[in-house]
Amino acid sequence: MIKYLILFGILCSSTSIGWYIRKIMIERQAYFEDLVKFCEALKQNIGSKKDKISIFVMKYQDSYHQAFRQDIQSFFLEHHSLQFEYLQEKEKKEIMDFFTRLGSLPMHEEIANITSFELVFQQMALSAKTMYEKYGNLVVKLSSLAGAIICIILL
Amino acid sequence: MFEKIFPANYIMALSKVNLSMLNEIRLRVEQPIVIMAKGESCYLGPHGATLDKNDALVVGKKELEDIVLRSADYSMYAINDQLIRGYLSLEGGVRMGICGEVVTEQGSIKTVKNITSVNIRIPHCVKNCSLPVYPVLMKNGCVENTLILSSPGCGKTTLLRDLAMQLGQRQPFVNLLICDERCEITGMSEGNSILHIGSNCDIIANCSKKYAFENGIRSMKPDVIMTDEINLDDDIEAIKNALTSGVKVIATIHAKDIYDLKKKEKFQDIVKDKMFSRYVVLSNRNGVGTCEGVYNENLACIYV
Repeated sequence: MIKYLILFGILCSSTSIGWYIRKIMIERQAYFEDLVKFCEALKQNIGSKKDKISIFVMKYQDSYHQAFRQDIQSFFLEHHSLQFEYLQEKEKKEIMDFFTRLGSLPMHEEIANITSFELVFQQMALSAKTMYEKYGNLVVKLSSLAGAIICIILL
Repeated sequence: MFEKIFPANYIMALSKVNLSMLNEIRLRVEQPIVIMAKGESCYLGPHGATLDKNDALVVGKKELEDIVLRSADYSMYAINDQLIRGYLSLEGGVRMGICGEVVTEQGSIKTVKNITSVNIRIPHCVKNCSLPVYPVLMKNGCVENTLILSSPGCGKTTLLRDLAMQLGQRQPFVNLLICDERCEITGMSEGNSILHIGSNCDIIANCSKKYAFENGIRSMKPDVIMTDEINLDDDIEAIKNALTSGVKVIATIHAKDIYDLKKKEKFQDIVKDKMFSRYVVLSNRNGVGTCEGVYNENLACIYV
């Protein structure tokens, strides 16, 4: 009986690892999509209402997913670093660079600056989306399969 | 507010200064910080106010740029219109005057870069400071068209603000429109007026007087319009238009006294056309806000 319980535990664990990796992929995709959405909304705001960044973040933070919301709150309202841990070093550097430079230029230059970063973020969002579409479901299946194989071997 | 814009060592130094007395903080690149309290200037050292230049805190170029960026709340695009006019309006009616290299493109000013000097002016509400002159500015229960004049830093805006307060208290149904170009009168910040003004005030902030007068008269039907620091031909034109529309105007202007005002070519119409019925002259002879006299439209002194 205990042996079956352990096997069941192994199967569940390996499957949940797959789900976890899939969840990271979803979060990364949502994060980059939010980043692009943020750039677009900010450009529109700068061109019309010209809210200061902190005011903009306070007003519109709820329209973003949790991970991105936490990061913009952390950076623009609390002046801390990025919190989202599933970014690669290169991505983190690019986003930090964007956030740090934001707000230091007059209107037209600022919009141009955001647009150039937005193109980079669109690429990131696209590759995160491709990654998810390619491997999101596969990784769950593979991890379940790996669990099942381990179980069979142990049996 | 200082916590938001200054580095920690400045905050520490300012914590040893009586902030309620502070009028000005002057920052110049690679120069000691100068503060003015109660009309007296001295340096700002790590331990507070000092007369020893060698003990004063010196401002670095990067430090000054950071102060301006922080004052703009990391949103230079939002304040560029102010920046090209040489100032930033901060919280609580605090005004930051800015000097630097002006960037032009096809003849128009685009922005200011390489900022070299900053002058932070801190407003103070002096409750009831207008009471001595208030009765002289009234006629048959209506306020007269009034021009407050003095050199910079002699309390024109403070007097104007208190006049708004007194008018609000005494004549609560008089509609008072405040054209606050630099947000100094009302301390307008993110839609909130921080300094005490009357309850019957409508505020148009952060725009030219021409715009504020034209649109304000049309849309708000004011009885009295108040504005600060008239300077441009457009400002005088806007006031003339308001006066012919039957709206009373209370304004301020930079001029040492009546004779100084008469000497300035572009302001000669003001006196010649008798646009104002009362001129209040201020100085800092016996402290900021000393009333040197009130004059009528014929420039006869009617109150000392």
